[in-house]
Amino acid sequence: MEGVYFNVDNGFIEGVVRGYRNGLLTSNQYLNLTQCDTLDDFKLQLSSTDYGNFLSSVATEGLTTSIIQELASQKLYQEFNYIRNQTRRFNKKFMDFITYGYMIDNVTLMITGTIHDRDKAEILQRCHPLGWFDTLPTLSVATDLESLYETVLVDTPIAPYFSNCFDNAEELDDLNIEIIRNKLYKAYLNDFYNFISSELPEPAKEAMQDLVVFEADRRSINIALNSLQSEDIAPDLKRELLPDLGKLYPIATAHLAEAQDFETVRAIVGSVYEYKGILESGNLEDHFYKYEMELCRDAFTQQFAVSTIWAWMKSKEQEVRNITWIAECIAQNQREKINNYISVY
Amino acid sequence: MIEEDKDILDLLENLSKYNLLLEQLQNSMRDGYSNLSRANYHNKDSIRGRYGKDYWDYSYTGNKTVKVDLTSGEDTISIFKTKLLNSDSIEIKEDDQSSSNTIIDEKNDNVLKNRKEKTTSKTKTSKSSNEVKPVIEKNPITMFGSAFTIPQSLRDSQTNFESIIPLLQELINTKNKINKITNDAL
Repeated sequence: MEGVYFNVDNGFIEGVVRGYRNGLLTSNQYLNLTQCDTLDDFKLQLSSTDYGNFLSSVATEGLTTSIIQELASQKLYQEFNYIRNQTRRFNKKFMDFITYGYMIDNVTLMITGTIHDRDKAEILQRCHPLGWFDTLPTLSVATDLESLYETVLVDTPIAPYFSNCFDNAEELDDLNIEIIRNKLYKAYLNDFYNFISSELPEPAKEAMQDLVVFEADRRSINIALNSLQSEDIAPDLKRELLPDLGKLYPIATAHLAEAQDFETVRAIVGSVYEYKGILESGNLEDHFYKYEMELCRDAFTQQFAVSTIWAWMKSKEQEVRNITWIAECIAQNQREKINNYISVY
Repeated sequence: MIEEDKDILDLLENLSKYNLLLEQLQNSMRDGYSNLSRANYHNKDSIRGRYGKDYWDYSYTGNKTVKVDLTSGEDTISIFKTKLLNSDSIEIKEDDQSSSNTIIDEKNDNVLKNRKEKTTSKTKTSKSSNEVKPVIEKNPITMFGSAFTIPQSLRDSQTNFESIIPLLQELINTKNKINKITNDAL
């Protein structure tokens, strides 16, 4: 019965998102891009896709991979904001939840930039546009996390996620900031999952749960692997950072917190069917991207679901990464590596 | 063998060595930039920023020193890891009676601190005078994401670029030898 009233509020949005989805680059279009010899050819090939003439204002001499990535990303943000401006009620809250992850990144970026003696204007340019909030520039003036929270962050939507973060506020160095960031993200994922489970109707709930659960598992595996390279991270700390949801939670997560070497992590991750073999060969991040894209592609098979917004968003981000990679290979004349992109459409 | 032949042989040997080093440099640079591009691909935040000067820590003073030796005729250089000096340590001073109870950092005054924590810890540190914390060597890769978010491809890129440093040293020393031989011949 979910389809009966869905289109009243969300029909237009789903129509727009499916239109955007149909504009995603296909395997044939990627093949055409990989056969370009120069960035000018690349620009010409992209003009025949949904990107159109987004590079028309850039002269041939000034065309670089950074500019291609920047302008492609801007197109993504414009489309996201267009959809966001059409939403209401729980869909608006859903779109807001998508932006909270970027807000967390921006907050940690501002704090990190301050301790790295960076100019505020420089850091603000690097902030993610979708995670922007009005009081973000004022984060550079506070001197410790508690005053940051009390003066600025308490009024932001991510304020509730700071409840467990003040233990690491003794001295804000790179490691402590990263720990705080991971704690914030853990709380955010839990909150997002609870919202999905309680507010979203089927089939969006099921699709989004799969996607958020995968995000949690990805973070767990990355934290477990990357922490092997640092001696400062005790098992108790790791346990605090690993998300409390996902296919790895609770048994595999508890073992990952105790793992001290790569072979142990590989055995633990291999015990979960979906991630079997993910650490055997190839690059881990590539495996994650492929799995995520397959989940996103499958999310579009469901009608009358707002999960298509998240799926389109992640697919578009992957597309920007892909075209940036292909452009880099063309610019560096590394043709043998040009086919290392992920395409599922 | 006459002196001229010896000089010519030296010159040829150094030119060959220079050529080989240049090829190795080119390969390492190519692999380094390729891995850097891959790291940008793997960086989930790369939509808003690529690994580069946007991430730099301006308070970082580097961990390599270049020593130029002009005393010998060939002007050689050597690049080695900088030794950490004791004066770089952070000192907790006993006579800080201010209500803010700040820790004085000689290198960097922009370290963010938790002021409330310092009020309780001050009484403990007052017992030991001028306690010096050990200086911890900082891997420059941590400015790109610290412990948890550095992709393996970025570490590979760092390895590639670090392997270039001894190559650069040898290249410059070889070039100076070539210059000396040709100048002496003239």
